[in-house]
Amino acid sequence: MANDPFSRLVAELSRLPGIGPKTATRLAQHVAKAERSGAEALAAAIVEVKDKLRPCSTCYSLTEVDPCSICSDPERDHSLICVVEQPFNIQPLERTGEYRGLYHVLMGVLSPQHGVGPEQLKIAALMDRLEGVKEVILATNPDVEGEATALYLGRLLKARTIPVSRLAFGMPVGGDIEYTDEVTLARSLVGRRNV
Amino acid sequence: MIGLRSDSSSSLLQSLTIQDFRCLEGLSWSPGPGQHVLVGSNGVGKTSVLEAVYFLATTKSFRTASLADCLRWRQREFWVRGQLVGERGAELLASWKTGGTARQLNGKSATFGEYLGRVSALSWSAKDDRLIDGDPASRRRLLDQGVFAKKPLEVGLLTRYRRVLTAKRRLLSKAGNAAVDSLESWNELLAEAGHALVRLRAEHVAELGAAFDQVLRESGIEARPVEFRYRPNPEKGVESVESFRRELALAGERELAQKRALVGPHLDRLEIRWGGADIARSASAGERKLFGLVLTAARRRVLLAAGREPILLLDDLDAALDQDRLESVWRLFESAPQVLMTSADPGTGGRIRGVSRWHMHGSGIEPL
Ligand SMILES: [Zn+2]
Repeated sequence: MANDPFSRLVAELSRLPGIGPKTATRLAQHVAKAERSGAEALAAAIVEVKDKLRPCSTCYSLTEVDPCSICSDPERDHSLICVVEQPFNIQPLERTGEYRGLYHVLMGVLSPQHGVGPEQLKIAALMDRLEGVKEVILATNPDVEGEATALYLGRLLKARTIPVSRLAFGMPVGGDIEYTDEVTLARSLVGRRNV
Repeated sequence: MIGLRSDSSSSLLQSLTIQDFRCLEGLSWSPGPGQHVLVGSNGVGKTSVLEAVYFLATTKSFRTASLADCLRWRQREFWVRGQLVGERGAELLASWKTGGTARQLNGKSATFGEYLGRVSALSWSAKDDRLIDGDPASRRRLLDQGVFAKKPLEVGLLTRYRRVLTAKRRLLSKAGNAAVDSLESWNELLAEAGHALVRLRAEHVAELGAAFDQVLRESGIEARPVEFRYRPNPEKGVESVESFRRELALAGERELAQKRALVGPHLDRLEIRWGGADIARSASAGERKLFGLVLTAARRRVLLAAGREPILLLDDLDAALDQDRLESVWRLFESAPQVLMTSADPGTGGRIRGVSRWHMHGSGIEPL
């Protein structure tokens, strides 16, 4: 592969999920043509994400300040926890405007194929947060791994007599929270069912 | 008259183009609806044409489980494009290269369900005899082919079941205490998908058995009665998710001890009894062929009842059949709106009335 700066940028961009060589080239052309200040801002933002974001010690979302702005917001309902797979699953749920509780990021899902069992997930940390909690909403994806994880957590939580609900996914099986539109997500939050 | 005349919901193949499929470098053929026989010498690729049509309609092969086998020597990709006529007319394009199959419907990539919803195909070849030899896995495959040819939108269920099963097997192979801890969640998913799967299979076997009897009766073919017996695993899994779950729980300790998934439809059996005895042991070569053909006609009838009239693909139908036998066997298929057949015997078109004859040679296909 050519090792000039342009090719290096294309190569780096095409490593991003969902970006093929064609898109990477188009993005790289855009950057090459842009003002220097624009390119600097982009580069700085990328480095800043790595330098300044770290997991919240309570909910494991990515944050600049610990605890994160959601965990430390007194206006939010601290008796409600919504459990998601990854930090980036929080944004789409926030955008619905339907949810005013807290989050908990598992940092993955149960997946024997990938050697992920309960002990690899932030489950113990969730169990430590249950004091005063009136409901836990399980918002893992509706695929096989997400369902297995929700079932597993459901049993643990019910053993602790915590009411548990699951997002009512109107989306096709296999659909990710990440790619589901806000209206659908809002509906699945409002229509969540007890398990 | 055997079988029902098809309704207008079926899609038939007007024309097709095949590229780099087996020995076929580039081939176009416009058979149109109706009944056609492809005549040509051995090795010219007649069966590959049928296989390509099957691939176009199902994105699978009836000759191999590995589509890499279908790639022409030194090529990177093969594809088949077809124009469908009928109420659900469309242009289909199926292609394969290392990494997978791609499907297009009218020039846009399509989901498996959308694509399979447009067309259906059913193949018969002498090789189908293996089914009778009783290998449980091939019989399960036959069952699932039937189930999902009828209900292409539910094919996700099979994928789901397999994913859960793979996860469970992986967990059992490690089987520490931590594994046991989450095993129950996987079993829950296994029970849900497994119950749905055995229900579909049971329903299909019942339909297939009834269709088989009917086809046999209407054809006037003399044969011993055939009985299809579906043995779901667990037997009670058909009743409800709850009973499926109970059976899983009962086997729990044995599964952990043996580190194997001992309960579920991956172990289903389909028994085929011929005049009261196991067909694998009791049928002669001629009876086997006859059974396979009647079964194909029965499978077509089940598809037809579901509004999914298939393109019928019959490979070397006439081999080892005398004129009388050929005529009675042909009656099983003559009502099908589209049949594509191959034959090594140039006379065969003439032996079956009303069939268009085509000659296949090294450079293409021409009407005879
Ligand atoms: Zn937090």
